[in-house]
Amino acid sequence: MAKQVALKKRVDDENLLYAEKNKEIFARHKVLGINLMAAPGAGKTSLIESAARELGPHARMGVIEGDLAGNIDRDRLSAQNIPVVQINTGSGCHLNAEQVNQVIEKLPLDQLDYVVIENIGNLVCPAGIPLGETLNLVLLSITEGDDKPIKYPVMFYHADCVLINKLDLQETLQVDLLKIKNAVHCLKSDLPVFEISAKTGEGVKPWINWLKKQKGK
Amino acid sequence: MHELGITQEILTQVLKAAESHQAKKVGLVRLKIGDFTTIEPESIRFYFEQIAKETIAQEARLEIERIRLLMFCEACRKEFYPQDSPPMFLCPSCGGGKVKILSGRELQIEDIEIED
Repeated sequence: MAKQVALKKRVDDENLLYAEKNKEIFARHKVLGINLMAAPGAGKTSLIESAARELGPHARMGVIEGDLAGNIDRDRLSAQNIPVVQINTGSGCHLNAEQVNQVIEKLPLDQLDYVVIENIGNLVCPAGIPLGETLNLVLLSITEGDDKPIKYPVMFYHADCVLINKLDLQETLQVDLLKIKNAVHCLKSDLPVFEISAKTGEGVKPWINWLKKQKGK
Repeated sequence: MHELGITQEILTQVLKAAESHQAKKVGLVRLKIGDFTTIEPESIRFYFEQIAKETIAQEARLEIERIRLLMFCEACRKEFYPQDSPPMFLCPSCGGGKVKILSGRELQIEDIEIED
């Protein structure tokens, strides 16, 4: 005989559980967890390098690197003395909180102030999937054009801060930066937006000052 | 690819619930999927059909209810459906940004129908 069984259950319950665990671990070690999301090639790893340089010796940043395959970014950051662990997702298009949970304590958390989780390069899938972070950081480079916040509203809506990167190419590209900012602010009117060049360091300082304030909250 | 993992989780939870009721067959699975998720319902259907093979849910029909993105302006105390193309999430009445999402982020298994 047919009968109905109520579940009323979120499909991503288990991810939320692991995200909470990660959040507790970050809190216990007084670390600010940052989920860094962007399209492939936007400059996520360059941003981390630039941030670590700007923070200097007084604040330390650790990194959880997410890629489908390879250890290129891990080796790159490790060579600069940045504590880093690598997650390879195989075919997975975003990181999940369980994957982060499995590696998080391999970082020397007691010696760190910030942990950046560099998500898989993708403006669709990682959006709105919590990993235990306090901040969602979305990085957009001007080589991607000025329409990305319009095309990927879920990603940009979930951001706590948007960074516009590769300002060093602006003279050549002449991208309408105001159009990008307006599109972002149509989704979330008070979202902080910073224009930077991770390569030259231009504009990185004001963003790092903002980040330090978030750490103090 | 995104939806494959989600569908695996749906199937796991459906089978767990069905088995705890000693079901011989799952006839129907009702889902709620919000428009403001990055989930494509047709991909869920496609993957479910593939991965449910040789389980008690292999003949299950998926009933997917789409939930529109509904927002609320804290200043006007009014609900509104935001314009989606181009996306405009500011309040259409006051133009303000003190808004929150009321619905549209659902990704939920409502219930299942089983035969025992």
